Amino acid sequence: MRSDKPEKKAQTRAWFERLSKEFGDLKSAYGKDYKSIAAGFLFELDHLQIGQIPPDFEAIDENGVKFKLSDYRGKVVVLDFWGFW
Amino acid sequence: MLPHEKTLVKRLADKPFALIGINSDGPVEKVKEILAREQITWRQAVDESTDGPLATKWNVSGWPTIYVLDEKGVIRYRDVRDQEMEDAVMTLLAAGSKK
Repeated sequence: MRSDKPEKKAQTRAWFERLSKEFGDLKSAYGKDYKSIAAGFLFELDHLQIGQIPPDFEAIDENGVKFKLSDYRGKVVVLDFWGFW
Repeated sequence: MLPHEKTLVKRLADKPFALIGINSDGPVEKVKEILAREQITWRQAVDESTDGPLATKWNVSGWPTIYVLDEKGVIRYRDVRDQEMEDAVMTLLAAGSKK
C-alpha cells in the first residue's frame, strides 16, 4: 500500500483507524483480528513509504548472530522478504 | 529473483552494498539447510514464518516483498525485482559515489 498524496494518505489513515475502532475484535478469513490488520497498514503508511527512513529493527541471522538494520548505514541495502517455498 | 541476486552479490562484492534476506522458511536449522543447498551467501534475518515478527510489523502480505534503501537508510524503491532491482541498486551506488 503506497500513498504519495497527503489527502489520500489522510483518508487512508481515517479508514484504517475506523476499521480498528469499529471492527477491531472481528477476525478476518485468516484468523487475524482487524485491529492487528489495521495496525499493520498504519505502520506501513506511516513508516515504509518511499522517502522515509524505516524504524530500526533487530534480527537474528542464520548463525545466531544478532544484527540491526542500522548496522548497514553507509551501504545501499536491499531488504528481501522471501521464502524458498 | 535468486539467480539475479546471486549475480548481483558477486558483482558488488567490493561495493558498499548489502542484500539482506528476511526469511520465512522456518527456524535457523531449516534456513541453514536451504542456504547451503541453494548456495545463498548473503545474510538472512530468520523470521521463521510468513507470520514472523518482522513480516507482521512491516505488513508483508505478498512474497517476495522488496525494499531498496540508500546509504542514508532512506527507502528509495519498493517492489522492484530482477533487472529493475539491479538498476535501482546501480543508480543508488552511482549517486552515492559522487558525494
